[in-house]
Amino acid sequence: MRPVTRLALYLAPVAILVAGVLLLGEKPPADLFEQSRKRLEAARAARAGDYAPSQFATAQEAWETALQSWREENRRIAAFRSFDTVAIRLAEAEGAAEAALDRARHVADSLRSATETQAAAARDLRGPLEQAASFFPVDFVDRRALLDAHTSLSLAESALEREDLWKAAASAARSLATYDSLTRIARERILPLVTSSSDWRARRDRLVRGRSGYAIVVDKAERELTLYENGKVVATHTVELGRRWIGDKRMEGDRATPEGLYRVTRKLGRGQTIYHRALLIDYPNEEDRRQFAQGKRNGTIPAGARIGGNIEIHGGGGRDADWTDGCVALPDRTMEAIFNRVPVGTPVLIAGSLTGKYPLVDPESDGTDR
Amino acid sequence: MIRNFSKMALVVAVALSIGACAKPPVEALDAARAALDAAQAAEADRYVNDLYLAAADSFSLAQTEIETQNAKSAFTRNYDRAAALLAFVSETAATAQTQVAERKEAVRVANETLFTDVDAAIVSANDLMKKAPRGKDGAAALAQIRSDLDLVGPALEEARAAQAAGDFIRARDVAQSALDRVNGLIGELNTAIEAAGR
Repeated sequence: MRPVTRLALYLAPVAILVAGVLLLGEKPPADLFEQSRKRLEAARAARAGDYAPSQFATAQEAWETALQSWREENRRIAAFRSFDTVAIRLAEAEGAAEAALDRARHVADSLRSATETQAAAARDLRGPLEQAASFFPVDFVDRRALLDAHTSLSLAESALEREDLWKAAASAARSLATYDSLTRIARERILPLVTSSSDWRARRDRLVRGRSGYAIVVDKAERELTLYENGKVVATHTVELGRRWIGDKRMEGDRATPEGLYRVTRKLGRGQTIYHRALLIDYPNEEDRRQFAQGKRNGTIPAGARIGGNIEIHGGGGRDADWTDGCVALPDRTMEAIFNRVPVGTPVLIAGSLTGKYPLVDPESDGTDR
Repeated sequence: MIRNFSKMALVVAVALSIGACAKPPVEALDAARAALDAAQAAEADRYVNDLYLAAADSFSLAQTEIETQNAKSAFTRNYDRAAALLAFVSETAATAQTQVAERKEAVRVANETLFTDVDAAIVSANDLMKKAPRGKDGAAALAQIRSDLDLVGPALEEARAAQAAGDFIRARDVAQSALDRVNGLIGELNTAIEAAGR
């Protein structure tokens, strides 16, 4: 045997042993890594970083730790490698990624659902509030808050479209809360007006039933003047009122149209009024004076305030807006027709509302009977 | 014989040195990580989420691929796939960053136009306010419109502030809402003017 062959034969077992130590060892957990990596990928795609941040961070950390452990094991001789710790960390990573995925889906679904529900509720409130804002005087609804609610609703819709769900939910909640608050405040002010409508109807009925001669009834909420003759309706006309028409007149300059039973005290013909024709009524009457005095006593009316007067039913109307300082305005021709019919002394009932129909409230469910 | 043995040793040495040349792509790994971090900082996960996800997942895959190769014998390690994955990560993250910048710029520029539109709409509304019945004529309706119009200015300022702070999406939403509002008021004014003219 040649010496080289002999040497090779001597060295072969040593080489095999060395190769075995160097190359043979525990199989690396590549499959486990792939499995947990895919879980993390799914969690990341479900925006777990946004919707389940702590679970996702735990999963990522466990995965990084597993990778670091694998790196350290790889530095050892193959025969001495052990992947037990790596496998434990990977199992933790996979479990946390699974939890993060579930949580992210749940949170995203909840946010989406909450946003859609709240935005729908906000949209439901928006229409009636807009209607109320244009129906009532300018300061009746807080218009700054209303605009803020509109903007929040737009932001919610836009954020929902681009799946920015935290922002969407926050904006929708803000919008709904603002609309809700505005609706509640407005309803609190409107409800007494609605519930008083049955009293107004009773007063109207007492006034016109069996009455001979003329009577005038003004329904402020409906912007309607009805002329009665011998208890029967002979004409109905659209009227315009004071700029702050809602509620009773309390003092001079409040631009409210008074509510109550009055009488025509004077007829102002051509040249006696700047509004074509006018019927002066006896505001303030006894009841107005009593309320004014009480208001001053309890401080709801400033000490220096005056009660006002010169409330008329006059011409100059037809402007499609409430513009007077408290009077009731009609178009000139209509005014002239009424002026020509009714005498001094004709009773005038000015009612807040005979129907109880106001925006934001449902008279049917508010216990009023028509 | 000694000469033959020397030749064999040389061959083994060359083979060993060739095998030892396969080193992990550490620089590429660092570069890919930096590119990914930069993309995230640029909000790529918000603006171009698909690209960002592709880059992030490929980065994880590259890391496991490197360790898979590290686990092998030095003679059989091959980092080509890991290198290719890391190159993809760096390239995709850079693309994502560029696209974010482009999208942000597009929204920013569109917002400037939107702001101009809101300004112009406010001017138009103010002009219409002058044409609308003055004094007692329709005063209550005009007061409502005036009140609403006065609120649009602060809304536009809020949008501009968001734009200046780099929150272009909020700036767009707020400005669009303001524009919708003014256009609604313009509609109301036109109706009021038309009614007054009848």
